[in-house]
Amino acid sequence: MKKYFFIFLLCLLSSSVFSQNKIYKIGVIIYGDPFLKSFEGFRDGLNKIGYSKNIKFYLYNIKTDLKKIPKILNEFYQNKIDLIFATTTPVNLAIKKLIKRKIPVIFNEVADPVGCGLVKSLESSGNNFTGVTHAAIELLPKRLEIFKDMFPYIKNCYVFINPLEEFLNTQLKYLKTPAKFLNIKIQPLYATNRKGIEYIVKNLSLNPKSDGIFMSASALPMANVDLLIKFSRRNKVPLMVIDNIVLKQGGCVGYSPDFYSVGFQSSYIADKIFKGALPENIPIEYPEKIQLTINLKEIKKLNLKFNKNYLIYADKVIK
Amino acid sequence: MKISIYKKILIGFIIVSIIPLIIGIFLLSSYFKTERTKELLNILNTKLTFRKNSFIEIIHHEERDIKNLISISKISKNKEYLNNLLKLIIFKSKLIKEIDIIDKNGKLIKGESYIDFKIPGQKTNIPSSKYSIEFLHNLYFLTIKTDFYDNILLLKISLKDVFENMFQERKSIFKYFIADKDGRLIFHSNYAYVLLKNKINVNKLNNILEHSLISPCNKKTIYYISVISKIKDFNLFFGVSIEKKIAYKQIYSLLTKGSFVIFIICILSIIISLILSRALANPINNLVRITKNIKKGIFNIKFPKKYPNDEIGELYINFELMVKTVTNLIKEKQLKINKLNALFNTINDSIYVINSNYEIVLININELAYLNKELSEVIGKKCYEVFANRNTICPFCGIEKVKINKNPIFYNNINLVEKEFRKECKRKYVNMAFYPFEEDEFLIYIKDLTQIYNILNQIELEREKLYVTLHAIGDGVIVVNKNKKIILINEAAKKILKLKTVPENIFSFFEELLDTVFIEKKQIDIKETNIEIDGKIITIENSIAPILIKGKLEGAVIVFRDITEKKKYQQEILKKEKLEAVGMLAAGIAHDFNNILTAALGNISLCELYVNDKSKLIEKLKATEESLFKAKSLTEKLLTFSKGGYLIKETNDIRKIIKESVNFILSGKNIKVEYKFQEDLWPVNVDASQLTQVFHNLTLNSIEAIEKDGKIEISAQNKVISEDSNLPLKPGNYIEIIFKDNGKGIPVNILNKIFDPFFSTKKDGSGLGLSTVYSIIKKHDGYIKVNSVYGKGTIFFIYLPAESNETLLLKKKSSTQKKEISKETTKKRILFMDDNDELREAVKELLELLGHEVFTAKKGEEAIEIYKNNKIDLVILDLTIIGGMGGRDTIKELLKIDKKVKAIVSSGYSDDDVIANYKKYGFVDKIEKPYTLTKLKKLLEKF
Repeated sequence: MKKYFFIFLLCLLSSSVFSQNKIYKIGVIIYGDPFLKSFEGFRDGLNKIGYSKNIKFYLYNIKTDLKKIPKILNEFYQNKIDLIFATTTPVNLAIKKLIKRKIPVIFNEVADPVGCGLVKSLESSGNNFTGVTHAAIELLPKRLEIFKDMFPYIKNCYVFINPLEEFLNTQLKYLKTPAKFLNIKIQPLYATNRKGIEYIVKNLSLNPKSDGIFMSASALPMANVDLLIKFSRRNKVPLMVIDNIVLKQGGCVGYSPDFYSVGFQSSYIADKIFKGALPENIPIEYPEKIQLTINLKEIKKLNLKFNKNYLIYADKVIK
Repeated sequence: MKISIYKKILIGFIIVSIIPLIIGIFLLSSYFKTERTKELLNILNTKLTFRKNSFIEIIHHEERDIKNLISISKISKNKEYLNNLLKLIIFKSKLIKEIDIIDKNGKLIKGESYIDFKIPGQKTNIPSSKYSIEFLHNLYFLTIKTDFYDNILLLKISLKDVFENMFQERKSIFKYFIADKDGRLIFHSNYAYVLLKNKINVNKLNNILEHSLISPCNKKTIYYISVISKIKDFNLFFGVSIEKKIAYKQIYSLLTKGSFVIFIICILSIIISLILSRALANPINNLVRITKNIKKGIFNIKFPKKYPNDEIGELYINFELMVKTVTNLIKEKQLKINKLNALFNTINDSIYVINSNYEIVLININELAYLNKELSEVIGKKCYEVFANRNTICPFCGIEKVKINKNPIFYNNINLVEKEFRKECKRKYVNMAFYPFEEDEFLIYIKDLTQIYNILNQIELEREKLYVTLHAIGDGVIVVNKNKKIILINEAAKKILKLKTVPENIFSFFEELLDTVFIEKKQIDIKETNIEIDGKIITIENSIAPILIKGKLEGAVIVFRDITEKKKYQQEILKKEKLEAVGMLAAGIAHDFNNILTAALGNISLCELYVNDKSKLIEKLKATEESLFKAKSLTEKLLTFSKGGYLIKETNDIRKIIKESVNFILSGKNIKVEYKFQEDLWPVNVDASQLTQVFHNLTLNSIEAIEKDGKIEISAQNKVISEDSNLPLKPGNYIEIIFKDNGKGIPVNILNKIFDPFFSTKKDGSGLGLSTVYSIIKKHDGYIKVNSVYGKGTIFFIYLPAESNETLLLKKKSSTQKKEISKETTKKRILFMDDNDELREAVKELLELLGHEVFTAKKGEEAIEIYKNNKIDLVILDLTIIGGMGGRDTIKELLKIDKKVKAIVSSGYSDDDVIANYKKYGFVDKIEKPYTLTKLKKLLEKF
């Protein structure tokens, strides 16, 4: 009799234990302050889906110091992290190289996930990675189209290119067709380091009536965007930036996915993973929303003529 | 199969209460479930219709807007305006991601995309229907085809955006899903269905969702209630579902609660059934248990102290009384059985109980032990098989007679061997009794007499042996009881005691001894007793031993023999032996003396011849003197052997004694001698002259044994004899002397006789040489033994007690001091007493020659008188004076006159105690006869 009563109590106890909701532990690695927006979008998305009470974040902002990643990963192992959310190409590549356990990783702000070797293809990563591509290469033609449409007088587009980068040809190939239809000549400016860019910026004079500067999806111009802005301002030519985030420093126009939106979009991927989907089975998504931002302040500063319709089209205008 | 009351009560409860309850709950839940399902399906249909309409509305709304815009551009006909319009739509619309204007050939005229650069003139597929689904950039798009002037306008709307806007609340209990016409799941409001590879058969979608398990992520299994509806224009399937768990939450809750109630009722049922069983079933079960125990023979039953005041209680009381009565009866019976069994098994004889078929019914333990069998092996078997190993009834069996007469039958002294029963069996003689037992049963009692028979036979045999022995032996044997009455007397006793009839009482000459034996309870042996028989004295040797049975005196055995004749014979033999010994001794002495006297007489004769030749005369006189010394030596030997001689012990260096004595004997002989003496050899306290004789004799023995190239090796070393030594010596310090020669050795058969007196292998040997050696060493508390290998040589081992070096040094010092004093002495007034006139005169002459003044006396009285009247420096007294006062008494008198009298004792008897211990008697020194002038001179120099 006692035995049956004990079994009954045990059943009641175990059912109460197992009925508790699981707490999902998410490790977040942010490359720098600007990318906190991605995390915010991601967090808000999860809250909206309904994870607000059973989510725990382990947030690390490495502030461009990639050496911190091994230590962070060890902490993730100790805390038995269920999922990693990581921003930017270098961070994700570092994780791919260093990670020792099969933890799913959702990436954001990776310009070309296939090109940089992070995933096998956009349909299936073939590994633990999935996420939202920044579509930096794919958007190059659209971005050139917007640049020409906004500054119709431009005939020469100067593009800083690092000849050592592997996807150089891909970028040029992407630009070739639209340039032809838009009647623009792509003028590549080759530089492998800051000094090279400095030299060009210092010595090359552009024609404000026909020239423009177009940022490629390359790490070098992104790292030396100050020189490009300087180049644009000195020659009073418009600068099409690769990412809207640059427009805070300078440059005239940008058309890129919004960090917050991409983070938000990524929360749905996380939902799938929590419900059992394997990252390799979740296709890498394109950004649902691409934001058009115009730096009217810079345009005015450079006293540039432009297609005013864009002030209506723009999602955001910096005044 | 038996079912207990407790189980019956429990089952009854379950049947009456729980089963209807369960059925009720299930029926109720089933009813509620059906009702709930109907209700849910209505809700789902409503929701689906609403969502479906919403979707159609959104699409139509977008389509309408675009159409309106298009109509404006139609009116303006401004190409730039159209471009700007398209751009505006793309940048501002949340749903429209691409707008393409194509001609009827499919060539792109104008296109705008949120992501792509649309190349004019590019070939584009024209969808067949107005609404179509397209997969692009990993996203699903709804393409709307509309006429635009003469061209075609294609609008691409992101379905993900549409649906996400529509189903923003993902936590809703209703799950929405959209699939295309091919079954591809385009959207699911909750789960990760939108995986490219997943395809669902739309026709069976409803079944899949409702009845089968869907594992969207290959992990989860959820049952749904779903409603699916097709939107014909769009070729899309809309579905809405709800998890059964959620849908029937209330019913499940009801079921859970109901289950809990059932569970509680179950518990209560068990408790109630327990209580009832306690009240009803327990007493009955107890009674069942008790009856089971009684069946097993267990009567030690504990009844409850109190009984319920009902029918069960009454049953209990009656049952308890019944059990007690039965228990008492059984106990009494069991007690009787136990007693009988104990009796049966304690009987040391054999008992069989058989039935009329001769089958063993019962057998006692004693018989089983005899048979060396287990009870199971014999029960039921025929008694003659077990008892006699036979196939037929035993010839001496009385059962048949008992059957007829109904009375017991006894057969005594049955010889089983003679009856050809079992020749090899141990049981040969038995008494048997056959009794009628229970109805149709018989008891056979067997008393084994074999052992008794054997013992009686043995006793008879022993008695016969004893009788024959007693009468056969030559010794007289009389056995008396404790009252000294003769019980037994043998023929020899009758003969010795010359008895014709046997007297009742013991003879008086044994009576006293018998009394002693009876008191001391010990055997007494009397070697010789003279008794008078018929006036004749006979000598008997007898032995009386008490007869003790378990320590109690029962009588005595007197064994005696007549030794009268034997004793006479022994005396004769002894006499004869003595005569022979004296004869041998006399012959030996005579032989030696004759030789010595012959030599002396010869030399004296020569002296007469050389009376004028002084040198030759002296030579012959010396030879005569030497012969006389030999004679002296012979007498010393005899004295030593007679054990009467006293030792004159002095501390000596044994090396000197050995060397002097051996070298003396070996002078002129072709025999090498080698000495090996330990440097710090201990001194010995010995009679030097006797030890000299020892080595003389040993050397002579060796000379006689050595044939050629002789060699004698003599070694001496210190030896400490411990208690565990094999030698028959007291523990202490000894000198071990090894005397070894390479002579012919001594045959083994005579080795143990060489120290016997008069034993000699030589024709002319006296047989006293080695026996003298043995005697001297023994007197010195030493030991001598011999080892010899015949043909190779002989070794004598001599052990003499040693003195320490310190003692020797002290003695030497004392001796030196004395010498120094004596050297100073000059002429003395000497009184010489001896009864031999010639000697007295000769000594007087000698002393006077030495310059002393000499007084002579024949006897002690004269000597005392002279001493009184003259100043005498030194007195020499003969110990033995025939017919007068000897030295022993004279010194006493002289000491009375002068306590400081210096007297020297002189005697031919060196074994006299006065010579050996002269100081004790008051003498200052001693001189043994015969002595030379030189010896006398040396002695006088001391004083």
